[in-house]
Amino acid sequence: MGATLHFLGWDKPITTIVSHFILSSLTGPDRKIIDLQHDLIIVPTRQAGRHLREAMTLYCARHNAAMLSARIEEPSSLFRPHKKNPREASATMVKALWTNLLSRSNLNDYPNLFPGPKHNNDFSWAMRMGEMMQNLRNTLTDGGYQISNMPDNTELEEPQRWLDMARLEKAYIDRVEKAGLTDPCLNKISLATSPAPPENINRIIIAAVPDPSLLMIKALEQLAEKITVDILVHAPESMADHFDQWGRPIPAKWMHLLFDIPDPQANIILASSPQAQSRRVIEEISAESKSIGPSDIAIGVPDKSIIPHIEKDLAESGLPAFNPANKIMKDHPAYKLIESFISLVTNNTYKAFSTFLRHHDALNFLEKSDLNIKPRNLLKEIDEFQNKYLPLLFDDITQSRHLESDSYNNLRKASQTVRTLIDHFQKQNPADAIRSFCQTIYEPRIINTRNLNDKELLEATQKMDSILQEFTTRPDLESLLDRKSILTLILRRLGEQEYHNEREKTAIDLEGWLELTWNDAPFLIVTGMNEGTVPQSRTGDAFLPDSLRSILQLRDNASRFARDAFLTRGFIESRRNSGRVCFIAGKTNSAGDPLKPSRIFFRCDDKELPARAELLFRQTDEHRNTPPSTISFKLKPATPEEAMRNLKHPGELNVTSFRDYLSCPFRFYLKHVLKMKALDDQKSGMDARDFGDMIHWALNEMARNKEIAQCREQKELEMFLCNKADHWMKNRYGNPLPLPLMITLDSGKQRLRAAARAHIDLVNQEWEIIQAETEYKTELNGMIIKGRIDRIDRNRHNGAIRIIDYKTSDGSKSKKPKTEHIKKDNSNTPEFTKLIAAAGESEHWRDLQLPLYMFLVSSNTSMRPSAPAFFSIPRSADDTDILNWDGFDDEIMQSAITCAQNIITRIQEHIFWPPAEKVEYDDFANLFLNTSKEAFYFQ
Amino acid sequence: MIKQKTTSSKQDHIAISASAGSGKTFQLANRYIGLLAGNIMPDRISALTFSRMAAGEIFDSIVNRLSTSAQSPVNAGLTASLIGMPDLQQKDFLAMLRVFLNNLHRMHIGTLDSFIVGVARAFPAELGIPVDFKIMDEDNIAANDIRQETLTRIFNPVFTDKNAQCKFLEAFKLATFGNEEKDVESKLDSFIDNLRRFFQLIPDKNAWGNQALIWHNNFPQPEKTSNPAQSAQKLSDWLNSTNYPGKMIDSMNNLIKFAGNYNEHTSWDTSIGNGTILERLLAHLEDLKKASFSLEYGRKEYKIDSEACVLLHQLMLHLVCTDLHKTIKQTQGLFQILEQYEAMYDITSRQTGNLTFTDAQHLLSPSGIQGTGTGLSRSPAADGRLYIDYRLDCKLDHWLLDEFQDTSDLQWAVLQNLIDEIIQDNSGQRSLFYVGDIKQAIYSWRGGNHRLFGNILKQYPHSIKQVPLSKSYRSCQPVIDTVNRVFGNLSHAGLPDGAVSEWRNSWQEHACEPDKVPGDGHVMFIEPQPDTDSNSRDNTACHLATASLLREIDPIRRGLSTAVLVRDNKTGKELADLLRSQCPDFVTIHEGKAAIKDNPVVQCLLALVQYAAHPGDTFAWQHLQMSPLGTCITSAGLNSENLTIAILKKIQTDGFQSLMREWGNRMDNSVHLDDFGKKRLEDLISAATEFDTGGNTDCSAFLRFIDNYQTHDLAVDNAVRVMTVHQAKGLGFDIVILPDLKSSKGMTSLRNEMMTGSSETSKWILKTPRRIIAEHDPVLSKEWKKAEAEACFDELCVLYVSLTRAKRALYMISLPPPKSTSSITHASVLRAQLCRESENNQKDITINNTRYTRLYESGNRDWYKAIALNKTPSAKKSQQISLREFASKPSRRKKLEYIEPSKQDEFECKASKLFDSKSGRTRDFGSAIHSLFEQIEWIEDADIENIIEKWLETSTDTAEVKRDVCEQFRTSVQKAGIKAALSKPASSGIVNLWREKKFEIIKDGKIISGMFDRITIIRDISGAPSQAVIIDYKSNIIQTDEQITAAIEKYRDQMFLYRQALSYILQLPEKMISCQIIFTHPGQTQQVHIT
Ligand code: SF4
Repeated sequence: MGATLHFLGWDKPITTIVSHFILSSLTGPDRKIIDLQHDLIIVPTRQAGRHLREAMTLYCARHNAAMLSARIEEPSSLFRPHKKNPREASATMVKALWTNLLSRSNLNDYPNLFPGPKHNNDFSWAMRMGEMMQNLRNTLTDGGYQISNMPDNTELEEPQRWLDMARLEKAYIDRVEKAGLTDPCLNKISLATSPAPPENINRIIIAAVPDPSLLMIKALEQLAEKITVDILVHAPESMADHFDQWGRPIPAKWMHLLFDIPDPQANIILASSPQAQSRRVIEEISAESKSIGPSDIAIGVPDKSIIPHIEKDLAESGLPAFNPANKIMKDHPAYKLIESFISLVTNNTYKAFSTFLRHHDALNFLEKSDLNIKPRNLLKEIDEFQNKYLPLLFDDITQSRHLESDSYNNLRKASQTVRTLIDHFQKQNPADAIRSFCQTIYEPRIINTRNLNDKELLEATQKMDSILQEFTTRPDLESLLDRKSILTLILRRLGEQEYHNEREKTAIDLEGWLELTWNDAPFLIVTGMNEGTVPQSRTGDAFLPDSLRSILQLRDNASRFARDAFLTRGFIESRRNSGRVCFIAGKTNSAGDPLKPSRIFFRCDDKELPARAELLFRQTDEHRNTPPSTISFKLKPATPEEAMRNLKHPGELNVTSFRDYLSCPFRFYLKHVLKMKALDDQKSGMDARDFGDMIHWALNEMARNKEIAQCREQKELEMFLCNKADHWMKNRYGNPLPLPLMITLDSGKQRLRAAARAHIDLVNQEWEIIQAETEYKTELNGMIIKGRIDRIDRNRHNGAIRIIDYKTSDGSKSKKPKTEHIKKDNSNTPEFTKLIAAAGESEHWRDLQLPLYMFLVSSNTSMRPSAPAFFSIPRSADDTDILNWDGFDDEIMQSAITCAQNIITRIQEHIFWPPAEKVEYDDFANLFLNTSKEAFYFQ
Repeated sequence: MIKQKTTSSKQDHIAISASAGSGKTFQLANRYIGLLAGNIMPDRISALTFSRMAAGEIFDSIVNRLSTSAQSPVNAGLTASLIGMPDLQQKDFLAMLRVFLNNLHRMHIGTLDSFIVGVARAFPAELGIPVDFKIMDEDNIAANDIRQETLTRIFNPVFTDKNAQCKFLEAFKLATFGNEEKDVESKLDSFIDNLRRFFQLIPDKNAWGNQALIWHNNFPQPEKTSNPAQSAQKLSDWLNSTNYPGKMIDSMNNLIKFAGNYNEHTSWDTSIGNGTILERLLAHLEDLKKASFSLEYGRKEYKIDSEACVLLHQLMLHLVCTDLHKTIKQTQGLFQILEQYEAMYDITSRQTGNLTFTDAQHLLSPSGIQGTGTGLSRSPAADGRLYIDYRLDCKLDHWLLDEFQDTSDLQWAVLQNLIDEIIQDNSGQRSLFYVGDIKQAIYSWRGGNHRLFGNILKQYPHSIKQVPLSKSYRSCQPVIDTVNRVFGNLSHAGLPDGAVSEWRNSWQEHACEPDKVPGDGHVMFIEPQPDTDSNSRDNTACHLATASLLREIDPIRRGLSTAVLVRDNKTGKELADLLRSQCPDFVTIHEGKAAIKDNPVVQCLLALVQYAAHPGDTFAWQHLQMSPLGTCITSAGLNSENLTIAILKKIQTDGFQSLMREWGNRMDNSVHLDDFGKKRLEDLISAATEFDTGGNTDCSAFLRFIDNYQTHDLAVDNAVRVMTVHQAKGLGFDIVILPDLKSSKGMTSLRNEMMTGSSETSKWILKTPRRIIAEHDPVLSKEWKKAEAEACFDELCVLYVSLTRAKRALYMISLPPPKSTSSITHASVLRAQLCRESENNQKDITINNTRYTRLYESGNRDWYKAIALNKTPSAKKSQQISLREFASKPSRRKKLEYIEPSKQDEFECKASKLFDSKSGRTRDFGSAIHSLFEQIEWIEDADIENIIEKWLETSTDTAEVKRDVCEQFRTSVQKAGIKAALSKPASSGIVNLWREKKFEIIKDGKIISGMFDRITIIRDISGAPSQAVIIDYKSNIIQTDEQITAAIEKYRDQMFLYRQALSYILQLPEKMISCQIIFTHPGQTQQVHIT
């Protein structure tokens, strides 16, 4: 019989002419039921099939007929066995066998394939390398080859390498057979070489498939002996010499064929970036919006990176777009849930735990469980726990004693629950473990198929189910790979899947390149018309460079060019009479790399060529204007009246917060009244405060131990302090300490050694500690002032009392008490900060800490300290020393009290405005946005 | 093709040193066209450059030249003569254009980086990398994440065992020896950031901090017997006995005490350790040793006792020796850290399949540590090299390299062999052409090595022709004059000789191409005048001066492109902020990182993300509360408790883009954002779109991404652009303002943390020692001087690039020089070169009502006045395209809605069921039972066991399913109800049976698409259908009557659609069609009544 080629013309859309071809002889004036049960129609892609089905249905409706049994399939159906072959290795088994082979082989046995001196054939390498090999085999299968056929080819370059690969393939096939399975590639080849006609089918219609593979042609050749094969070409008879007998455009002919693009000035567009391509789409639509409606538009997106931009821009214009491409499993929340949990199980890191807890389904599960966990508190607690105890591992949380504290109720319950989940998980085989884990997590969630997200979940989980099934049916997997590898493999397999994308109503279609011809919208916009995408040319390949593809008659650059030129021609011709097609080429991709326009643009004649070239190789003349920057809206913080009401202790003030008010009253308000405090769990190590706490604690321990406090033996005191630091660190961060904290501990000890020396100096000067870490309170102008004083010393010799504050500053220089508290004038500083005492140069308060300590002590005790001091313990050990406040006197003291009173009064009167123009370090910069106050609406 | 037989014309190897604006790309295009004219196909030519933008320009330039030449005989003649082939005609250029365009896919024009990545992709098995590896930009989030991940793995006992951790800890201690470092991670980060490239270049352990290699036997060492503490004591006693001035005695005492106590754990006291006395003592170590030395102090000389001299000598040696030892140890520690880091990084990056460009270079460079020791080669037999021709489908005989001065050693290592092959080839069929400007080498901090330019020339002195180009096609005469004056005869005192001589070597007097550059222009160097305002001593004065100039000239309304060039992102931001507040009349754009965060819209939306992930963050919460989002949250029915899950769910299901759009719109609805707010919202949504493509839903990662986000959308043309000099490279502007000429460090200050050098045989590397030590060490001082000269040369390049960006006007602004500092800055160089004392040019001028001192001027100050002011500055408001109405407009084409009856059943179930392996089996079960029933034609004739047997042969179901299916099938076909439904109806007419029949019909403008399980049609004598029964199989596990009733209810819609469809197909009234469901589990047939 042989195949028959039919040229159907191209002045109409492909769907119309194919429908006509198939149905016209079957319809007539009478009512007909057309039963196509003996026809098989092959179209290039699934979406193409959908378009054809729609067109055929419409055709029947218009011609007084009803259509039954239309079988429209993709080319791959020709090699699909009628019944599933139960012995064929699943994709999972293929991967597992390859991985096992490559990770257990001695790579030196394949010196031409793996020439490098150093190959780490660990699991992840082996898995990827195996995929690479199988992909190569898949491509070769399209031509009916196996790797082992290759070395027979005399034109082959790198023959030794191919021999190595053939041996590797052999080893793989051996493993497949040993597992009692058959290889899918081999099956496909054998099906194609002796194809049985599909059941009940006596005609195959190849509907405008422009690039059937070699294997498909082999199969068709044989099928055509037995049944009718009709090959439909979307081109006029006059072009017959440009196609081969299978309807493929002949590269040599199309290479030189010239054709025009109507109104190139309007229909060829160069856009600078993916975003700009999308903007141009919108512009073109709005330019056409008078004459067409939304359903008249189709947008070609051969370059997938444009899709999100177009989706975004169309959605903003109220035109939701439908991207018929499947959705990727990797992006589905259920996959992410599994992924984060497996990462937690296998790596046990804090980060994995934190990520897992932040999955909404995980949170939902914990919230709905009977443990009464509050998601908000849980996340707050985990952040606080992280900040305080710096866990690196999940075990650092579950095994921490600190978890017992009431402040971590939610975290404790959650981590115990997760611990149980993990334990349970570990007891089952991987696939079942994943199932039961998901069942647990999803227990509280009810899905409704009317809800789009739920529908997607349904689609996604059906895919997952079939993948997991691949694992459960092969118990021998466990002999091929270890558990961790199997888990990774499961993730890999799941991640590769796609699931069906639910269609929304009345949307503009976004189409891939191959199905674009199948969309008969009168206005077609094709984006991404760039070399490499259209045609999908490629240079360079690890195994199959273009030269080799040509030799093997696999799809090569020349055939892709011919195909795509032909398709482009189809778009143009079918709309030449009514409709418009416009092409957009990008100048750069999303990474900013330059793109080349498609060669297809240059199939114009010589006269036009220079102008066309200039049109497509130039700076785009797009303009971007930007409006002047403004503060789009002001922030309205709660009023002091409201906010103060929420304060726990409105009448109390800590000595240390005066500094904040002095530096900026408004920021004081945000920090101490509105209690704005940032929190996350990204803290990477101990901060200055933690470090200070460690030092303080050790020194305080020293103070509490009367004997040690009077110790004059450097070594002994050092040892004492260092032990205390050790103790503090291990108590807080666990034993053994995580690596980075060991280093911090070392630094702490270094400082403590220096502190020991300085302390012994004090002891030698007859100082003794009389109080340490003492809390004092007193009232000032109706406000309770609170403070905890690090240490009060008395000199045995002269009875002097000295108030001391430890300072563990990080700068190399020590901070001096005076300069820490008082600064020189700056004209903008507000009046209430003024230091009345100073004559001449006017000075201002920046902090009141030490004077207020003095005040606290003298108002609570009979002690009359003279001057306060810092016990400075800076980075450089040599500078560790007692720094007295030189020149401290009653006048300064009095001024400090007055200043404190002023501040108290202002707080009581709710004066927090205006903010300071400049502050040393601004925690609130994100709110102020470089304005001094314009960003706020306050009072 | 091209008639002319020029095929054999041998191409010279050429090196072009091209000054700024002299048309490098033009030359490159000429060369390319010359090759084409010589019948060399594009797949034999490789043209590589550095920036992506430049790569695009090469394409444009070649095509532009070819097409203009193809269009006019004059142009053809011009091009023909430029490429030295005068016979070429218009049609030849057309033919070349055709060839070029036909071969676009085989071209190798692009960035050097992308070429290298392309090679790596072609050799994955050789390099041990995954074939689908992703490339990350060096400084992007992904690269940063890998680095973080690598460190985490080092810290994590799951990945790194205890021994290795201890080793790492030791290395860290060594590397930070003598310095207390408690913030480990940030320290490591900076080590890796700054030092990795040194490790990659010199991965040899022996080279790091190797005392013998550096000093041989001349390491400064005090005598074994000397005791520094004792010496210090003795010296101090001696000192107190002298009658030196008191201050001098104090200073010396401090120094002596410091030196005497100095050990490896002491930190360096800069107040003592950098003093003049120490400086002088170290400078005269030899004299001290000879015991004859007078110390200069306060312009007087004080003789030092010979005994004290010896002691001082020993003490100084002790200080130097101890400090250098410390440096050596630190260097060795650094090596160990980097080595361990690199090993872990290697694993991490390979496992995740992420590589940076540098990693790729590294893999391919012969000396690379992780590389295979390969280089590239064009010959298949080259031992151990990667033979590129075959895998890359090319035969790269001709190489054109652009911006050659920026090539790094690592990149060169990859290419070197290819280039060597070319030059050593005698066939005349291969050629090398490279263009660069050493004066524009501003990428040394990234590893660029401008010396490579000259090295090749040195290596092949007779093979390569060198061609200088110095005519500017960009800048006007005054700019060029100024450039010549600044750089033509560098004489500023203090510039290192090395830098000056290197500059001179690459310098050519510049000139303008008269017809090609603007005719009118202006250059001015000004100084803000001291003011009552304290600002005059701080950078703000320069920033204010910038504002004055811009207000005066009003460039935006005159349509002049304007750039303000700064040195870093921070200054850029400050300046942009100031310009915005000072000049609200025009728009200022800062082309820096995180620029989109400059407004409350973005900040609030980011607070929403932050709060979602960290609901304990009261900052974010209050921020939301004081913003319009506060009300939006409440009106969406959300509160502080449930907001987290709602937002996380949105992010994890639809991505950040969708979240930003949803909440951005809510914000807009509640406060009506102004233009700027809308613009920023759009920017944020774009950024989120970009982020979403990575599939990451981690909130912190998103926030970090935005912090580093830089819009790479179009350049804005209605705004003053503030950017760094580096960003301006390759660009030209009508007006350039330089307000940031005083870099915080001097031009000669060393920027590298490491110092490298080489002895006869090998390279060494050392952590850069303290200046005062290095400068007085005979070995190190040489390297120090070299390094200073290099640093200074780099800075000169930056200055050169800054100046040469200007087309028409150039304004330089600097503060008056500080009284007491010798450090060399851009400002001081300009001052020295432009304001010669002999020609006292200083004059007061007024710009926008503020007085400035003019230090230098050239050209016409009023140049811009001739350019008309455009009345509407922000020309067309970005035309808002409203497609809202269009969305509901009717269309020409009919697009039909699909209805699938089988998907009509809407149900609710527990999501947990979806993961039950049973539910999958239930589906299998359902389709199995279907396929069994499908085999039954009329039950009275059916051989049930045969059907089962056949099915079992091919079924892939599990044994369990098989067993259950067969059992159910056997029992159910015995049930009377089912039997009745499946038997042939007793009818006088013709009876048709349809099984598993697909249908598609159009009903009420909708496509109904589905499949009938079983239809029995009874026809009258005429053959017309008179009655029909639809049967549908359902395998639900149900038993009780209520369940059955409920199930029927559930399927009613579906059956309704089936009946509608069948009625349409058969043209049979619906009432003549009955519907039945066979429930296989209970074995019942149920009539479905549809009303
Ligand atoms: S053309 Fe594109 S979208 Fe269509 S099937 Fe092929 S790859 Fe998929």
